[in-house]
Amino acid sequence: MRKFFIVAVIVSLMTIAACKPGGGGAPSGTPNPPFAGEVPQDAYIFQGEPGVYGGQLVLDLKNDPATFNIITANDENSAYLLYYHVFRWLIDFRNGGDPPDFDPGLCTKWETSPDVKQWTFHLRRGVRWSDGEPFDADDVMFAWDVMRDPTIVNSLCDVFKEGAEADGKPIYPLLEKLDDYTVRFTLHRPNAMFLDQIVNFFPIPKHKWESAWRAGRFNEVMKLTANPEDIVSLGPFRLKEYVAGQRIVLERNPYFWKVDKKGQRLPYLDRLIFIIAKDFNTIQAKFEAGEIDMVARVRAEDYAQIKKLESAEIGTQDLGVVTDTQWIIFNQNTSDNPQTHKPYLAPWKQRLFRDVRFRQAVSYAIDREGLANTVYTGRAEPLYSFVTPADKYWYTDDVMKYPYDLARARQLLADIGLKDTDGDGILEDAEGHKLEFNVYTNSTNSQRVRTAAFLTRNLQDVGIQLNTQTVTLSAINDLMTKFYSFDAMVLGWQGGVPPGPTNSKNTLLSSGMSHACFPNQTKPSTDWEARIDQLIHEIDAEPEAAVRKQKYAEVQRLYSEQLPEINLVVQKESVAFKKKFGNLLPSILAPRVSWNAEEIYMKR
Amino acid sequence: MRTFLIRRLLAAIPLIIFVTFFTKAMLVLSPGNFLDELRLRPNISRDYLERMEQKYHLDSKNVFERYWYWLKPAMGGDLGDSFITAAPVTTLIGQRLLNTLMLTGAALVFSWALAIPLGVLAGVYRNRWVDKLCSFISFFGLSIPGVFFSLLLILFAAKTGWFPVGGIHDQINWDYMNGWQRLMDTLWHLVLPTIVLGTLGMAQYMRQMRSEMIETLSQDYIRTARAKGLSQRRIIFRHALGNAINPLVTLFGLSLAYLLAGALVTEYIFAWPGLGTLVYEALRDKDEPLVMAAVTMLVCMLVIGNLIADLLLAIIDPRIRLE
Repeated sequence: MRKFFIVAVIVSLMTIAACKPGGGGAPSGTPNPPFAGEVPQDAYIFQGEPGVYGGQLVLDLKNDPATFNIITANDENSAYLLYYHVFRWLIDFRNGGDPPDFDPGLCTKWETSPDVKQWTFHLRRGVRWSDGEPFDADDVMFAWDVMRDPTIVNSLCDVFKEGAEADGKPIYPLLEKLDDYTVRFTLHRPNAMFLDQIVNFFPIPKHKWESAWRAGRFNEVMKLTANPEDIVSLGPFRLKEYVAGQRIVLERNPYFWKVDKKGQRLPYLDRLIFIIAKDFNTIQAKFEAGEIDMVARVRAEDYAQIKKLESAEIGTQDLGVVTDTQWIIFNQNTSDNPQTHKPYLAPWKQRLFRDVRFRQAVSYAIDREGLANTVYTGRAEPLYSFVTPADKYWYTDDVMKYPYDLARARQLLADIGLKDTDGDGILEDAEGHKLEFNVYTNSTNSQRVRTAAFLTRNLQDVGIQLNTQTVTLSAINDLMTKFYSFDAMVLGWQGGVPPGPTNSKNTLLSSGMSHACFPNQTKPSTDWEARIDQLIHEIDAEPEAAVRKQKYAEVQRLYSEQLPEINLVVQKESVAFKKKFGNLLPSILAPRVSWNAEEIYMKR
Repeated sequence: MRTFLIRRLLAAIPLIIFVTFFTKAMLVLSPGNFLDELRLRPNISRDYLERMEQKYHLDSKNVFERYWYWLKPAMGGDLGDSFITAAPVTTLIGQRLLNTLMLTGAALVFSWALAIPLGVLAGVYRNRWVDKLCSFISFFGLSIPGVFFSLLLILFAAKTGWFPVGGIHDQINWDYMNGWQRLMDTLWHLVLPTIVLGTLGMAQYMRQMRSEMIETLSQDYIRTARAKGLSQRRIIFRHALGNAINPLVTLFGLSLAYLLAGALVTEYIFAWPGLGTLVYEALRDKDEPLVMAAVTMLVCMLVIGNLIADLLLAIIDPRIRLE
């Protein structure tokens, strides 16, 4: 009985192991599903290398998306899936372009008035939605109505807000339909960088969703449980299938509006498959086993191993630094708690942290190279201001730098009047307060925890004692935006797309919610904060691009001198991919490898 | 019997209410809410966050009020929609329920099918090489951390190619497979995670079985049976096993209760689309309706599992009578 059981188990395991399915082969040459509808009148002509039809690209997705509703989506997985691949903006942004820049997408051209208050967009004629219905200005007007509807909670409209009326209602630019293929925005305040905001504008099909919107049901449409055929969009692919926790299959949009130089319609690929895998080790193993075709984000600790996989079939590319920053801040909040009428931060700490010499001393005491080499295993570079070299257009190298200099740091601290009077290695101020502070960071990010430990060691050398507290992201949030009861914090910002002043306002403006050292100020508490506020407003109104660049450079310089955030390092990233794909243009901006999915093809 | 069942099921109701209330209290009183991820992104505005908070009643810190917002529709069967995906929680759980049951069910079968025979062997041939081998296996199972074991097997799969690297079935070719191929493919994907999940259980139950067996075999009536001339096989299977297995039946019932508790670490590393990761992420992101639904489901499973354990025991052991 026992013997039979053992034999049966072994036999079944062997049978199971024998059933290995085959892999993906070469492209067929004919598009499947085939194209439909006629080529648009104003089709976008792709200038790059023409490819062949057929094949599929398999990518990984870190987690299930939260929704397919492009207007209400705000989590990074939905954005990763839907942006570029499924839904498109009014104009495009070429992430992997040299340099990354705006590109005619659904608009053939745009004009702006000399006072940069009127922006006219000319839509592409002959474009059809993925269900075959024609696209025109009515869809743009409809999207504008939906975005501004207060019952539809979305973050896309916020970037368009120009202020608020007396009763709190937000003021938006005026959008007019000039004819079936022309729309015009009229702004209340001049904004030379309005295009940055238009890259948040997704047209949605009026013929499909108008009745749902008028019935107040727009929040219920395009959810995760929706029928894939209902996700009508303008991107190169449309949703075919979603299996929870497993995969998302996108198939070719038969009505897509781009052609290549040979007159072939895009996209070349038949399918785009996203496999949901949460653990990076699993993703890497799947890549090695050939299941996934690209690894879009190779972490610092896996770089060496991925590099070893390079072969005739597998390639890697170093993308350089990212747009995300890592920093440490000291609390500079001077306001009082409205309930207890006591200041959030002890007055002696306020005096100390708000003294720029203290912040500069800390910056000198940090060994950024050492941090890059240990915590980031060499895959990072020192960073001194909030814009990283990845932002090729706006970045300036002309900022104040802080090479590792313990003597300089000690000198600055002595200048403030800090001395170690009792010989225990920790400095005290004139009133005898010990320089012992708590520093918070989020427990789920192991690199940040190690960074905090590294900084503790650095600052010990100049007589400042840091006590690390690792807490959840929720607690960090509360500390930074509600209780203001921290001394220091180690965190970072994710770069926005496109990078630039528009997407950094929340951190730079003293009234900003993310101006972490002292958020939500009613008026700037220092001269330099006032100056930065003023420069940002001037940049918005400035029509000359060169002058805008110069002013933003000044903001970066001021930032590096006054150190509201002491920037530490910026990480480097790389991608790994199968060489059998052509027209790959990996970019440092999300979604890194597949942003030009319509141009990618499988080589024979 | 009937009154026993009814009484037990009725007693479950205050238990569910207590546990869900406690859970809601923890969710409300702990810092932050599901919008925290967003708060740290510089391009999300304050207005948006405030509007979202109002929409989901997150501004009130009154536990009773927040609990009532959940309880009232729940009593009518509406467990609400997830905060993060706005999809009904029952749909979200339903999509993954079968996957988790498949995995934990297979692990259950694996651990018990191995634990009982090996435990009996180890107990009968105490201190011989068979016992030492079984002890080695059980100590291995007890001490290896689940994470490490999972990663080890993933590495093994990637290097040898004999088994798939995680996932529940081949995502790329699934559409082109017929029913039989699909079944085989799923079973093939099931092997490694089952081994990981089942090993710990197997180790525990095997030790238990072994010690029970040893104790039973040292009883007087066994000595009598031997003296009477009964064969070893008859003694073990007819007399000893039935008595030794008593405490393990209770354990079996309890392990049924954990069928849906999910196997978080294993599912995470093997990219198995199950409930474990769903519930863990709901907890981490404070997606309240999903957490509440998961907790309710788990309490129900616990009650049912305990009930089955008691019933099984009553069936097997004639001394026990249910009142």
